[in-house]
Amino acid sequence: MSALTALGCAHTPPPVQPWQREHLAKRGMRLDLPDETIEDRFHQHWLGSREGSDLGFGEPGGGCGCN
Amino acid sequence: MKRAGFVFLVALVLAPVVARADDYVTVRGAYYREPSTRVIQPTVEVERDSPTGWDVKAHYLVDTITSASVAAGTSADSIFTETRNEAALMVRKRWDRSSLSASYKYSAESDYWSHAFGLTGAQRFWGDTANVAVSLGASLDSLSSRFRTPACAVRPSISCSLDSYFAGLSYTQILSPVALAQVSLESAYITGFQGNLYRQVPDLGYEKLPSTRLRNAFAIQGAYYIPRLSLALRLQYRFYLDAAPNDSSGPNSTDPWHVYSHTVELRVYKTLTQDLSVRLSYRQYYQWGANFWCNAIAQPGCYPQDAIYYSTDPKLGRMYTEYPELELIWQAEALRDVPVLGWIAAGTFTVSYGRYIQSTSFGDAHVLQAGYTLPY
Repeated sequence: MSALTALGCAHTPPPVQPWQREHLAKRGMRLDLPDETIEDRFHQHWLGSREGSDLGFGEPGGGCGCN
Repeated sequence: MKRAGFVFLVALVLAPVVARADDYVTVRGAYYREPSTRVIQPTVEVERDSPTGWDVKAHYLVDTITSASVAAGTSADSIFTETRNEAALMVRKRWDRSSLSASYKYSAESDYWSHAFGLTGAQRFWGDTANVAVSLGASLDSLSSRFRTPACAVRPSISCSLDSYFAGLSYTQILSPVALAQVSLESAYITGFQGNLYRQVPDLGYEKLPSTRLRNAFAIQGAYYIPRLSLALRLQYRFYLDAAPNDSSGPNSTDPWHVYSHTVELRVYKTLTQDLSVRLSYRQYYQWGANFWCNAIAQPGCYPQDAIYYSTDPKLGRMYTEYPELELIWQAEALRDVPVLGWIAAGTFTVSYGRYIQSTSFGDAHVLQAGYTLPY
């Protein structure tokens, strides 16, 4: 058991219990807020047309003001 | 503007650690203006989460792009307006600690059409403090020129194709009651015509780019809340690198792509009053250009006459951008007792202004957005 513990295999409780998540529900701590998700989608849209990396997901060419 | 459907997928990959019932409708408007291009984009998005574990989300948007640039598909000094319509649908099934989502997005404009499909699986574990999401997707696009049959078209077709295949992996972990972190890895393999059918290079003609591209990005972000200050901090770093698999036809037998970049973004969220909060954000982006690229506008003749690939696209060169933005978020609770307007009191208004500063010839841009989200 000591060996397993040393290897990190022993059971450890999760770092945060459900009743400790008040602050994690605040704006800024949620990565999925609908209005922020939509806003980020618009950001990625024009950033992808002005920067060459496009954040790592596909940006095909095309005949519009963005490529 | 056209886009592959992977933005939609990434939103799924970056799903929350803890699933919530989030029924809402959001309407937003965005305005982007730089010296030669203006974009107006209204959007509506609706999500309905069922108690049975089936969720549905859909959005529709219209892009109206007015441009005087060559990049808009026109010759210089002529004004051109293009409209793009986009509709997307996502269906998700939730179980106790896992979920599976399928999505489809269609985007159409006068010379560009895109079908994007996605599948995302997510699993929560370790007391619901951790979440792993895997996403796969494909985007099948076709494009045509208003003025000619492009060289990339396979006759009798007059359009070209562009296919993208995406894979993403993300891991999110709650670290403490006030801290969480996320790492993600994304790759997309793109094959087909990757340039602009209207852009030309002096003395060489229409631009020519490698037909394959493998794009990779690694990102890490952390969020931290300071209760004493009612303040949240979110910091993100992203590294990007691309390549042309099995292609060494760049200068000195190098990979013709090899674009890489570093992006850092900091967001600060501060609660000012019970109903009003502010978000300050700042993003910096550094990019090193494609091996094959040279600035043929500033240095005419920099491409040899026998160049295999050539383009005047400014975003393929070395560049730098920054983007400061201020956003106000107002919970409309004060309207609760106002006649007629009381029904919107449960919602949230946002309005933001940002200044996009670019080192390229596109010039700096103003970005204005406003939105309203109503949970129901």
